[in-house]
Amino acid sequence: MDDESITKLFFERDEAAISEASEKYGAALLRLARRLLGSREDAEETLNDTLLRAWNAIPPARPESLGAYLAGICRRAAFERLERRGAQKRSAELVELTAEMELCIPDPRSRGEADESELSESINRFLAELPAEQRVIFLRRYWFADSISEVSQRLGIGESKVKTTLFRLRKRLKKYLESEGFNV
Amino acid sequence: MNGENLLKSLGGIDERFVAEAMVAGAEGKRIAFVAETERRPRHIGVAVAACFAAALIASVFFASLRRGASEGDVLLGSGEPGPVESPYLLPSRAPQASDSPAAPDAPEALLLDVDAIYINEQEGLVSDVAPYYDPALYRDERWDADAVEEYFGRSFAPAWRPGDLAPISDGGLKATVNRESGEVVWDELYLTYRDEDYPDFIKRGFTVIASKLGLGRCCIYMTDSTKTSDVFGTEVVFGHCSLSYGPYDPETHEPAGWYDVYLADFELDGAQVSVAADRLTEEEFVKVVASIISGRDDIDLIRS
Repeated sequence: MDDESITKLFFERDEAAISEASEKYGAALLRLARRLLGSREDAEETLNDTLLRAWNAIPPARPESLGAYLAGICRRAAFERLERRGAQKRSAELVELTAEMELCIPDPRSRGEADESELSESINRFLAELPAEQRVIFLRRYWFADSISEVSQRLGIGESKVKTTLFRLRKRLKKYLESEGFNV
Repeated sequence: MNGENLLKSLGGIDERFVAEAMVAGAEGKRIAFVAETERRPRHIGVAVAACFAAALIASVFFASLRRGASEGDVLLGSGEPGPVESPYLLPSRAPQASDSPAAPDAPEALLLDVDAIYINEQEGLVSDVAPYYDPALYRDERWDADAVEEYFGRSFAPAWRPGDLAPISDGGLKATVNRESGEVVWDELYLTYRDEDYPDFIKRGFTVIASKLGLGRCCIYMTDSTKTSDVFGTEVVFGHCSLSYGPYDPETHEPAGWYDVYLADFELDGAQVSVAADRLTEEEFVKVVASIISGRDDIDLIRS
């Protein structure tokens, strides 16, 4: 079923919206949650949580891209679950991604808090200026938590190119955040 | 702020970027990356005979004797375009400003992941005997560096080389031409860079050999298990061997020591190119090869 029809079901308060959304995007959402959380059980709960939140949000929300909208909810739900878990039990993938993200922080010695929405806005501007290919590589790695090899296979490019692009983008993002005043 | 905060804050980015990355490369919506997937067929050449001689020094030495290479300066910097770009064909729903490149303050250095370079270890070098051309039927022509560049359509001089190495040839070559038809039958170009003050008979240095007609001699023994590496979109076979140097112990015949020889073989703009180096480090050698291919001297080697 296409996105428009599934969204229509949400608007009509037809519970088939949940099963159709799950049918179409469930596997991808489960994978994303599992990458971040490391546990299948937690990932399944996050998927259920995602679908429930979508049911409560649509309407009034009318997502332009249902897949991206659900993935956004799923990612937020996964991070909330991580916070509840505390600092322990981070998945290997998340530890690796976190370490890579540390390289983008202008002053890693500082432990101050940056405003999350300001940071998101700033990253939005940074991403908007990138060529599409680079932006996709960045998002597949740091948004969808894909491995280097998965990004490479998905986009049909060499692993070496993926690594090189990410290396360069991390350096550039660090410089960009510095210029935007994120020196915390 | 820590890495996890930053990772988490990515959750607030524009949904259109997420949608773009979600469909990119998905089944049935494969992205076309031009150029990188196009590989020219490798000319592996004939079954290599021959034996092994003292790497590049010998091959260049004999070549110089035969071809009468002259000394002087060589033109540096090819002016060739940089690395292969891969235009990304976006779905029509691209966010605004999506295709404008982020404007860096200065041109960025090319990055090359040396961990992705495969060096084929081998016992020694392969060389072949240079063909003989009857002077009654063939004549030699001296081409200067400009004529060479016009013939090949590019320069093969490395845009980067270790600071202690200086060119010892002028960038020209002696071509052999059929007297009757004017057909070029021999076109090997030798560009040698050496540290003449190196305190040994085997000097530190490297030679680039290029030919549109196919190289007759140097240097890597190709087998089915030979692996290639991707250097800015060009498929390169890298090789390495250790060669001994004297004096040799009169009783045990043990050499005084061993030195590294690195080799690279690839095709570039229709020419077969070989690079052979004595006493360079692996990283120096990879960077020399990368600079020949890209025409750029600003190449940063990274390790993944």
